[in-house]
Amino acid sequence: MTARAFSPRAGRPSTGVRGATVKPSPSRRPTHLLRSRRGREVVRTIISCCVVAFFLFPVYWMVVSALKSETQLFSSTPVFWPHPALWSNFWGTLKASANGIKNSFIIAGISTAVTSFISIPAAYALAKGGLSTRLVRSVLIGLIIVQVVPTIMLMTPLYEIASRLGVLNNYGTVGLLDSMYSVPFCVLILRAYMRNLPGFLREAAIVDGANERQVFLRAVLPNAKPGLATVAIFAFLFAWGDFIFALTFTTGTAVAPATLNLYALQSSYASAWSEIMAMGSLLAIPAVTVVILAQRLLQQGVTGFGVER
Amino acid sequence: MSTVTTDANAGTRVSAVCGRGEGRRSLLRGRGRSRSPQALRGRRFARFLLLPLLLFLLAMYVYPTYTNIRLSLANVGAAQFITHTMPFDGLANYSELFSTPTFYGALLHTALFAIVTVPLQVVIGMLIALLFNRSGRRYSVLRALLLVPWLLPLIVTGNLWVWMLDQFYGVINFFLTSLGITSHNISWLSSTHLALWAVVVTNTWVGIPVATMIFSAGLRAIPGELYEAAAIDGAGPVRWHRYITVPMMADVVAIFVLLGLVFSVKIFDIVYIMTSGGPGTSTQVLGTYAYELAFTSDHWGESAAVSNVMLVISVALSLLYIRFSGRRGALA
Repeated sequence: MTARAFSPRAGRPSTGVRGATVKPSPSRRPTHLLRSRRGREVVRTIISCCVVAFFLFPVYWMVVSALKSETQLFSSTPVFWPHPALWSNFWGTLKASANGIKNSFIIAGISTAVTSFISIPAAYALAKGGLSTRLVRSVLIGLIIVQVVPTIMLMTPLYEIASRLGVLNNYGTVGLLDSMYSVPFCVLILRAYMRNLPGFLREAAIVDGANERQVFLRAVLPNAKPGLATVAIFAFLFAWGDFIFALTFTTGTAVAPATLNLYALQSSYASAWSEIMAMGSLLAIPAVTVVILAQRLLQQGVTGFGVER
Repeated sequence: MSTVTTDANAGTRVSAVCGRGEGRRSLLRGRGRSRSPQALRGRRFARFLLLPLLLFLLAMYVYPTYTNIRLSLANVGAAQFITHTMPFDGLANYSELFSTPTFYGALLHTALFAIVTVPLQVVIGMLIALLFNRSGRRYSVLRALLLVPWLLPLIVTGNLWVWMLDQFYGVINFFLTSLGITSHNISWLSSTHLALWAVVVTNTWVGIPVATMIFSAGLRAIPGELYEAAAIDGAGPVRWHRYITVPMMADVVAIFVLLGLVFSVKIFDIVYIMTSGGPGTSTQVLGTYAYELAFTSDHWGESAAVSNVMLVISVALSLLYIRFSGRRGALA
């Protein structure tokens, strides 16, 4: 694997349709679907769409189940297209969990702020700071190890510390804890991104008489907006999806995020599946929105470093 | 670290993230670094920018790890936990643990989880990545859509699959019986034999998008000239894959496998949400076992011992990962 430096501002190298461009298509029998190149590509697209549909079926099933009445939910042949669709299930769930959703936004917002505050400067320092290779390497190895430390292992001591400091049941505590999902990941992807920024940004700023702080704030950051957006997106989504920190570090509903509303529904004796599915659909909205609006950023982020939660 | 990095406009490339081969020249450390006042000021500023991260790592990881080790060597029940005392108890927690069958069960389930989930994700992820290995907006949209399962909050995923796996009204049993694969409805989550596999399937579903993304990036990093050369030499699709794709992707796959194994060791949320380790202890993994010991039965010391075992396993695996990516020329 060769090291390649690409300037993020550079044009778009063709990622080429491989295989297809290489092999001259036998144009003698264009009538047969699989014989012509076009036909093969159409088949490939159809298969690809089917694969995606197959993988997204559970999400479809969730939304559909949220719109069902009791009889439709518990019928022996599943209803694939509920008619009439009970949108009232959504409104009821939304009303019942409004406080949790508000808390989710607050906690995810705090977590996004904390993650940005920590990981943006650190990523810049590691990418462009001129630090010794040894220091950079130790920090990076540290970040990798930290990512594999079981969250559950840190849970007990952190709970102990939090209860000693008396900061249980606190937006800030949960937000800070949620940053543990995103900080190592974000530093690594943002560092990879910033390394690809052209070196002349810094040089030009210094020639213009900027000091180090101005180089960072005025020259580098404005040119790293896509990277910063990716960091913010991941920090928000990871914190939004957290459930175990919230479950452990909050009691009651005052600061509990919406994931705990779902957990409460799950743990109640009457399995209210349409409510659970409605709550699940509501919780899925940020992820789906981001996938629709920021596909490119997301894909770059995920490939930046393979993580699973 | 030979991870897969990105380039903002053009999609992705596998590239070495870090300088290569420089570690060996320790005698010449500092060589090539400028000593001008400007560069010195730059380095001082960089160290200052690194400070919040280092403090965060110390507070959230290093100190808790230290506390956890102390906790595992102490006899801490509910009473001691409330008074914040940690009476030293030697290795009692560990010997207690190593004589508990549940612990070995959890170890076994965790291993099964890893051994089944990771290859499934690799195979399916690679097939999808090969299928989607085309440029253009169409495939970019499809790849993005595929990310949805990974980005859903795990509590949503868990409940969704519990509902789909429901014995009487679940859509999965409906498909299986109407396709004639099974003759009766299967009780996935209340069977001690099947519950673990139900969770494994769910977890595979969550992880496939990541595998696909990483493999897609790896595929796009293979220089197109190789295929052109092979085509000129008269090789067909089968040989392209045999002699170009497979060797070129070996590193990416190896890295994904190691990471996947590590992340399987710390599996917790999805199991806790779907089965809480049950029925009985049939899906108890190390993570849920540690959580239950601490927060349900107040055996804080023993819980700390379990999580230290997890830590040792995952750090060992990640060192392997770091060594592996280091040896491949690119440094973590």
